[in-house]
Amino acid sequence: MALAVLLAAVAADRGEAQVVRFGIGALGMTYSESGEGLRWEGEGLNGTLWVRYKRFGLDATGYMAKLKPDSSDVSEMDMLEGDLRVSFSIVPAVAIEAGIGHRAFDPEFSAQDVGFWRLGVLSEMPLARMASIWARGAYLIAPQFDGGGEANLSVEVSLGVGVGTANGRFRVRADYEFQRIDREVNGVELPIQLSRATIGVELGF
Amino acid sequence: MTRRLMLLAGLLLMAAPLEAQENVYVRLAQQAYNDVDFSGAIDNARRALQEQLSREDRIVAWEMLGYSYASLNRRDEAVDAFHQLIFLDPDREPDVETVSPRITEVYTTALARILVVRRTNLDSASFIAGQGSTRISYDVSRASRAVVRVAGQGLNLTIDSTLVGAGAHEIFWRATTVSGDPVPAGSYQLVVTAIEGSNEFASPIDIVVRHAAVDTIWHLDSLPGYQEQPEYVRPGRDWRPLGIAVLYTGLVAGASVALENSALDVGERKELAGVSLLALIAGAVMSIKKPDPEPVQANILYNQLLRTELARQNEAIARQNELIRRQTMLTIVSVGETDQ
Repeated sequence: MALAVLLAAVAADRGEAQVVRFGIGALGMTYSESGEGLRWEGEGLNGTLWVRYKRFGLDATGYMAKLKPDSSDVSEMDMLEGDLRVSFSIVPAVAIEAGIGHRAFDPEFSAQDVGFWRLGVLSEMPLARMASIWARGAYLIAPQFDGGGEANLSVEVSLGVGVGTANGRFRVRADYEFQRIDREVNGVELPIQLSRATIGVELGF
Repeated sequence: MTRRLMLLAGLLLMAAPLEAQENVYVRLAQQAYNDVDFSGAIDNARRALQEQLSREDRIVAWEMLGYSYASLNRRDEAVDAFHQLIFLDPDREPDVETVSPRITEVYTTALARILVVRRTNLDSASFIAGQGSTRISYDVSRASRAVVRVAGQGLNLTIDSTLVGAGAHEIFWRATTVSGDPVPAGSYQLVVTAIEGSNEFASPIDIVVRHAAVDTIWHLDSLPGYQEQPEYVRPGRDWRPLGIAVLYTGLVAGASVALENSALDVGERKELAGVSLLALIAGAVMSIKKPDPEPVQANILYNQLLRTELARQNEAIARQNELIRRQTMLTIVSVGETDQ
């Protein structure tokens, strides 16, 4: 819904302050859950939509990865995740950000599917005319797990850098994202932690 | 007879390099005057005047006669001789450096008794028609009405007609016709006529009027004393991008490590290391690379002002040139006196 509203606004006003970029990339990630030894590593693909319109921004990202465990006790799994963030710039380098996210695994119950709201801050600074760096910090509100339970602490931080042509048509982008969700079921701590790096290219228009 | 011829031949040989006169008696009169033989000078001058003489010889003959009579204190004869001299060449005067005061005084007396116009002159000048003038000067020997006319090219313009006293006078001529147009190009006679009763004397000189286009004004390429400033300036090397990259990377890396759950296996943190390294490299490259030129708003505005002012001044010049092209540059030249 938010995406539709924003794209409609972009279509209605094609001023200089708006930028739309589509991108694809490769990812590498580490996923840990429920204590020492339960860790998966893997690679995959991601796709991004990045829109700026006046003081509003939208970032939508989809991830797809095949994860392999470092232990023979658990099986391989596929991860599918979608993140949506909407931001509003309050000062030139700082924006407040809100959004949703959902991560699912296949086969079912091989790891915890989780959905959450997020509320945080985005700070982006230009390094030069064609390069910028950004950092995010967000609190993940009320995560829902398919295996039940609740989380006391759920946060994410991320770092990104983009370098492109001066006209904004082409950009190389790299992102790092760290997520920690302290899940607890019936007083038993079953934490989740994710560390992900992506690198890709974007085309703007 | 033979002696006389030999004397004449000797005198000719002696006098030829010194004198310009063609008539032998004129030269003999000059020689006699120079030798203080005033009677001999009178005899030779009288004898010369009975012959057909050139204008110059006639002038010299009457001059020798006047000088010699005045030197012998034969005043009336001297005045008569000077009258003839003045009519022939009004501008010729005794040289006060070489002749006696008595001669000068008799010449002045002779001049005061007759009406002549002397030293008629027009200053050569160039000016835009209607915006300048040239000076015409003349002397009259007695109080009279002086009429200054320009005649030629079908025109007969009276420039001035006024009563004047004896002495020097001047008027200024704008070289325009009665309707105010510039006089046509060509040759003219400037005639100053002094009239005293039925007595009158005219002194003409030839003048030439030329027409030319007036020089137009060059358009300006730049305003004198002002020059355009560079609108884009490349700033100096800036380490700010690297600083920002270090700050952001440090904050995120620090936060990630601090937030890691110790109960979980974090692995080698290769995702954090990889992206952090890329961010730092990007910051370093943006700091080291030559910065892009940046627009200097103050200089852009300054240059716009200069160009606007330049255009305004060139418009004014164009308007001025439009007027100038309709003007005529007159050049008026005096080409010397003519015979009277």
